[in-house]
Amino acid sequence: MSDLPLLVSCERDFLVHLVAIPAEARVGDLIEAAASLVVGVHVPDRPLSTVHIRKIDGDAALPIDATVTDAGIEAMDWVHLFFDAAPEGEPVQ
Amino acid sequence: MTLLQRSDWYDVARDTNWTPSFVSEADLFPPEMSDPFDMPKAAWAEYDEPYKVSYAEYVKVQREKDAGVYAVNTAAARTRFMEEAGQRWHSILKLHFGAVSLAESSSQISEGRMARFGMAPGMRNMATFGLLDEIRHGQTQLYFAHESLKHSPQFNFAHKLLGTQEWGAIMTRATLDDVFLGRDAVTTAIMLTFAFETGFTNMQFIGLAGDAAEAGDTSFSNLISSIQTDESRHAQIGAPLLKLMVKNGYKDEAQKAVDIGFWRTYRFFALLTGTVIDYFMPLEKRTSSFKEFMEEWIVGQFERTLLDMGLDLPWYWDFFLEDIESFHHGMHIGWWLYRDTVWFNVPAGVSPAERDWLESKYPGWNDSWGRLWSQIGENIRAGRTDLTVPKTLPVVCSFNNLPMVTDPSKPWAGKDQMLTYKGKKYYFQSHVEKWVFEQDPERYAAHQTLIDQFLAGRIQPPTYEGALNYMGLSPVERGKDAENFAWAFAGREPRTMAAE
Amino acid sequence: MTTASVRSDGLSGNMVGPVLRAGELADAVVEAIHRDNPDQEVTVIDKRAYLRVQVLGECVVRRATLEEVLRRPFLMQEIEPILASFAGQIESTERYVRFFLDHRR
Repeated sequence: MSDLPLLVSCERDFLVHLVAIPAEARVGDLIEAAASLVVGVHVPDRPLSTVHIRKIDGDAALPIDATVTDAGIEAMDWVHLFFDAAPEGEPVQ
Repeated sequence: MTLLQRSDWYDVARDTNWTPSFVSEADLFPPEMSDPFDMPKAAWAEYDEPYKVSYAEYVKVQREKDAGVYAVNTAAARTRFMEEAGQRWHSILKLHFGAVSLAESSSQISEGRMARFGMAPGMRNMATFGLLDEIRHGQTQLYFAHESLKHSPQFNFAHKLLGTQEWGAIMTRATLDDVFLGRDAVTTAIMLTFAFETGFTNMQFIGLAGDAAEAGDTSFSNLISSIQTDESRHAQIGAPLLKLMVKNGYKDEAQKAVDIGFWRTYRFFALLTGTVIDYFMPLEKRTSSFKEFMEEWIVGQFERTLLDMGLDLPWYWDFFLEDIESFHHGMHIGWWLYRDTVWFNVPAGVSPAERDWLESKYPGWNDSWGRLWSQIGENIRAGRTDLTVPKTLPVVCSFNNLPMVTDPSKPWAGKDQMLTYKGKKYYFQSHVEKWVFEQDPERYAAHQTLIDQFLAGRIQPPTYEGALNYMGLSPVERGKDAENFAWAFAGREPRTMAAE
Repeated sequence: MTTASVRSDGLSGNMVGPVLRAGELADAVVEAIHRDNPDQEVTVIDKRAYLRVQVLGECVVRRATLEEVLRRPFLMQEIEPILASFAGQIESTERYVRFFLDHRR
C-alpha cells in the first residue's frame, strides 16, 4: 500500500508540513513522525506522551492505537498536533 | 520655425479610433482580449490619460534617465562598494534581481496587450510607452546583475530564476500570469497598472531606494528609483479607466478586479519587500519597518487614491491590516529554514538587538515569532545545526504558492482555508485566497503547485535533495545562513560554532 | 521648508503631492511648490533618497515658476526623471503639473 500524503501543523509552530505515512501505520506513528519535524526543532522538546493529534477541523484527539485509515484519515487531509494543557495554560492553537 | 505645443496637436494625433472596413469591430477588438464588459463606445470616448507624453518627449526624457543611471555607476566604485557591502546587502540585490528583472521584462506582454487591444487611443499610446519602459527595466536590471556575477554565481538567478521550477519562480510565474499576462486589456489595466504599479511597486522601488541610499548603494538606489519614474507615468493607464467604469455603471466589475489584483500583489510584495525591509537590511541602515512602509504607501497613499476613483476599500481590508503584522514574518522564517531552496544567502536577522527592534515595531513579536527563533538559536548553540535543515517540504497555498503559515500564537482558520473542487482538495493561506479561487475556479483549479508536482511523481528521487535538484539549484547556488550562525551567538561567550 | 517625521496617519486624509528623487531639481520643485501654493502649508518629508511633498487637497507646480527658480528655460516634462511617485491624482500639461483629489473627505 502506498503512503498517504498529509498536511501536518503543530501547536505553537507556524508552518504546514507535508508528511507521508503508510496507510497501515498507527496514529501513534504519525504523531512521532510529525512531532520530529517540530518538537525540539521549532518548539521546546517535550515527551511524546503529551502530544496528541486531531483533524484541523475537529476537536477530538484521534486514538493513538488505531491505524491512520481506521482513524478516518485520508490522503491530503490536514491534521494538527496539540499538547497537554501545560502549566502556562490552554493550547494556543 | 515655431513648434506647436503638444496640446495643440495631441488630441488630433491620438485619435486613431478609425472605423474598420476589412474586418469587423469584434474581430479587431475581441472582447476576451479587449473589453469583456462590452462598455459602450460613448463611455470609452471619455478616456483621457492624465499623464500625457509625446514620442519625442519620451525619447528625450528616457535618454536622460538612462544617462543618469549609468553615470553614477562607475565600474571601479561599484566593485569597491560590492566588496565592502557584506552578505546581507548582496542577498538583497540577488533577491531583487532574481524576482524582478525578467518579471518586468515579461510585462512588455501586458503593456503590448493594452497597446494593441485597449479600446481608447490614449490607453494605447500610454501602453506603447509602457512597453518601451519595461524593455528598459529588464535590460538595466540584468546589466547590473550581470556586473555583479564576479562577486557570486548566485547573481546568475537574475536571468535563470523564472525558467526554473524553484518554488519562488512557480509563485512568481503564477502571480504574473494571473495579474497581468493572462488578462484582457481592461483587467490588465486595473490589476497591473493600478493595483500593482500605483500600489506596491512604490515600496520595492522607492522605499527600498531609501534604504539603499542609507546603505551607501547609490547606484542601486538610483537605478530602482529611476525605474519607478517610468512606473509612475505608465501606472496612470488604469486611473482614467477606473473613473469611467464607475461613472458608467461598471463599478462592481472594477471593484472585483481591484480586490483580486491587490490581494495577489500584496502576497508577492510581502514576501519580496517585507522580509528584506524587516530582516535583511542591516539594523543601523533601516529607515522604516515594512509595516510603516505599508502605512505610508498603501494604507495612506494607495487607499486614498482608490477612494478618490469612486471605489471602495476591498472587502477584506480589516483582515489585510491585521495580516501586515504577521504574514511576512512567516515568510522570512521560511526563507531562512528553507535557505537551500533559494538563490541567495539568508540572514536570520534576529540578533538580540534586532529582536528588540522587531518587538518595538511589532509588539508581541517576541512571544510569537521570537519563540521559534529562540528554539532554533538554542539548537544551533547546542551544535545541532542539523535540526535547522528541513526534512520535508512545506505545504504551499493552492492559490498563491507560498508556504502556508500562521502567527504561532494564533489558531489556524481550518475550515476557512480548505475547499474540495471536482474531487480535489485545495488548501489556502486564508479565506481571501479561497474567495479569489471561488470567483473563477476553472481558471485556477488545474494549476500545479510544487507540492502537486511532487505528488504527481515529477520530482525524482522523491526526496528533499531530489526537490533541490528539481528546482534547478546546484550546490554552489543554494543559499546558506548569510552570517554563518553568528547571530545565534551574539552577546554570548564564547563562540564555538561549526561552519555551515 | 517644513520638515516633519512620518506619522502613521501622515497620509490619510486629503494630502496630495509629488514624491521626488532627491537632488538639485527636487529642491527647485519644492521651492516652486511653495511659491505656487502660497496660501497652503507645504510639508516636506525628507527620506534621503526621496522627498515626499504634501499639500492639502491640491498641489500645483508651474513651468514658469520653475524657470524663475532655476533661472533657465525649463520644459515641464523635465520633471519626469525625478517624479518617482505621487499622492492623489495627476494632471500633466506643458504649463503645469497638478496633483489633486476629486472627492475631499
